[in-house]
Amino acid sequence: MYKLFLCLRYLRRRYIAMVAIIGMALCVFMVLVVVSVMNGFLGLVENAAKGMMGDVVVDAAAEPIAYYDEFIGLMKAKLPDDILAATPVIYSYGLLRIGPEYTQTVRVIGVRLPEAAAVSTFTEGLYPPQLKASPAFAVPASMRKELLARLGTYRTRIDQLQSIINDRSEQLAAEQEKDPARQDKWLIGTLERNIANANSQISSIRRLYGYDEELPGIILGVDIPGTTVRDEVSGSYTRYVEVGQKVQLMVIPTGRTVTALTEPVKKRFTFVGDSRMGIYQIDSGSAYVDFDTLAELIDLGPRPDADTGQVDPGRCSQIQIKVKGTDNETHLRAVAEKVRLLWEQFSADRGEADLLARPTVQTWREKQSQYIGPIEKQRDLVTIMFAIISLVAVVLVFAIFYMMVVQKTKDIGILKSIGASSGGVAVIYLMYGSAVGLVGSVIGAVGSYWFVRRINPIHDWIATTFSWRVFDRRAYLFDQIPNTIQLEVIAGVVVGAMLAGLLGAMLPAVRAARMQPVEALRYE
Amino acid sequence: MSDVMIDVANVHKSYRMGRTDLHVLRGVRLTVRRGEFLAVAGASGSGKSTLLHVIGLLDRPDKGTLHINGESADDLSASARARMRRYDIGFVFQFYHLLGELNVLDNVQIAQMTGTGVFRWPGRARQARRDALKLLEMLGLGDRLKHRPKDLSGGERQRVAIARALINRPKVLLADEPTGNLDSATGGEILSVLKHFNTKDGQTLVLVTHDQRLAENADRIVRLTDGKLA
Repeated sequence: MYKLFLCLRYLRRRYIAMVAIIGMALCVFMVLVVVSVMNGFLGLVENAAKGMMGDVVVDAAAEPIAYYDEFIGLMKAKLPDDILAATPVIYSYGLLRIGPEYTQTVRVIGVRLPEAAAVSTFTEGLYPPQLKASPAFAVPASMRKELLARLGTYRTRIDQLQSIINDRSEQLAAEQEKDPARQDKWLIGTLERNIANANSQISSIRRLYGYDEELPGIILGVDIPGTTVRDEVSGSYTRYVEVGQKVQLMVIPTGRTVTALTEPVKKRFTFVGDSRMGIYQIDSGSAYVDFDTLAELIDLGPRPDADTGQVDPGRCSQIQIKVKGTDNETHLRAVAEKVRLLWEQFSADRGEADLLARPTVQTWREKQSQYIGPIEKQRDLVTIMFAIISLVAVVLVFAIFYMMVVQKTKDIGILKSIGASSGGVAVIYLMYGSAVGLVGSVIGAVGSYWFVRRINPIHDWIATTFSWRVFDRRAYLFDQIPNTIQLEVIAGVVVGAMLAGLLGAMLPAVRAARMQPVEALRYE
Repeated sequence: MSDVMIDVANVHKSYRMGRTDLHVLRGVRLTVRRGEFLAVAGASGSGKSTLLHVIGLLDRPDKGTLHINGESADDLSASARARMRRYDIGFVFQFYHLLGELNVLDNVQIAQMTGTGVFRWPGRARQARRDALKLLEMLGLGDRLKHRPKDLSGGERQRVAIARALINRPKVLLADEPTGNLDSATGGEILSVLKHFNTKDGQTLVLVTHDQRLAENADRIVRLTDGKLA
């Protein structure tokens, strides 16, 4: 018990112990912050990757996937215990035109709503909330009334412009009826410009602003450059494109055949809402439209042959599947294998080898391995690097304890002279090491918990105070730094730090224990 | 019970100093009676302190035998030697050797607590505190209990060291030049304290000194010259 008594006295009264505690706390803090942020980052990537495409993905190989609806039906019938839901998806590229000036290349994704809600988390990121509540490629019903009222405003404006045109036209006609010698050329020019300007405005309003219920809807990624401005501190968006506004999409119909003569196809859509997947690379370059609309636009829809009357089936780029039961990778792989075998059987039964070229069937993790793999490796690498750096903590504690034991050599002699055993002396220093490890790691753990939980406000404060933004969502995919800290990671690091303290104190403690009392007392 | 408290027989001890062996004790034979006040006198480097360290089980002789209170100390294990140092032997050093992190009271009571386990700690700690307070009061340090060694005078430090040496009521008190660092008046005080316990409690006192006048206070003086008793 005197060992604890002495250990506590040493802890309270030795500045060197404070240095060791601070060193240990910093190491624990550093490791916990890095591991937590990296783990959180990986978790976000995994969740996003999984959320985007369901559990299992059937991907087109050489050719787009035909008879997808039949296959989805077959899957549900043959694998009722495995398949919860499935939906086809089309991927393409296009040019998005918003207003008269803004143009942006986007990845155009054709999805079926609300069917996709049962498979992926796509619908969870929809905005405004009315759209999220009832996902569809249409302006939410609750907003339609307001839009129609606004359409009325536009009509009024068009009427005003039209009356200006009529008035100016009459004036112009009257002026033009005069003798050419008496005509006011300046007035004629002004009236003509007025009429042309009013016509142009009407045309713009009709093309851009008028809400047209007949047009198909489009959902745009919230970060598409130029369409929104984001307040980096609050994370709120100001959108330049309003719900109900028309946008134009230009795609190349590459679905079946592409030749030098293939012309781009333009189509106008009504903007119905934002998609906020939380991944900058996706949200800044994706536009979502109805599956059938896109299929038709890029020539992937069903096409009847005028001569034979036979219908060439529609195609899709991908079938996304939501699996029943647990979502662990082993289970998903087993289901993926069943789907692959089922496809082979389906392909063989239909006998259209060219049309049913073998697609790849992967789990979401396999599919996204190109994204997840490097981040996993990065996390492991950083963890290893910091584990190596944490060895510094061991060396630091070792150096401090060694120095302390050297400094306290005389104390060792004194303690032995008053009857302390060698084991007792060793225990004092081992306890001391563990206490430094415990106190240091607890301080480091509490500090890192506090820091990680507030990492985003701290980052925002630094950004606003010093105009220095470390975490750029354009580079790091997500708009927020991950701020979750796992208890098991804290426990692991704290235990590791305590062991490091113990290990660092081990050799000095053994040295202290072995020292002859007289040798220690003579030490200068 | 034998009348002999310390029996040193043919003790040799040498140290390696660089490349040469320094033969400090050369066949020392010494017997100290129970309750005797023995002074070991001799010039610096004559081996007085080494002899005291051997008797106090702080060092092992190269050759020879040692008996304390009739018990052989030659074959004792390290823990048994520690136990003997704890309960049977008290040490007073020239340079006090107090623990700088502890205050006066803790420095004294720690000596009684080194052999106490967790379960006996509370009772033993209270007892140690009582004993330490009593001793320190007796030694005139009642108002210095919370002071740390660096805040005390040399004489006060030595009195703390004496209190620490006596708290376990050892059979043998070994004092190595206890007044060597003190002025003559303070040295005289310290000597009278040591003599007081020797007389009152019957503790065997072995005092090592190079000061002839100090040695003359002992019941018996032995002189050590070049590692041998004259």
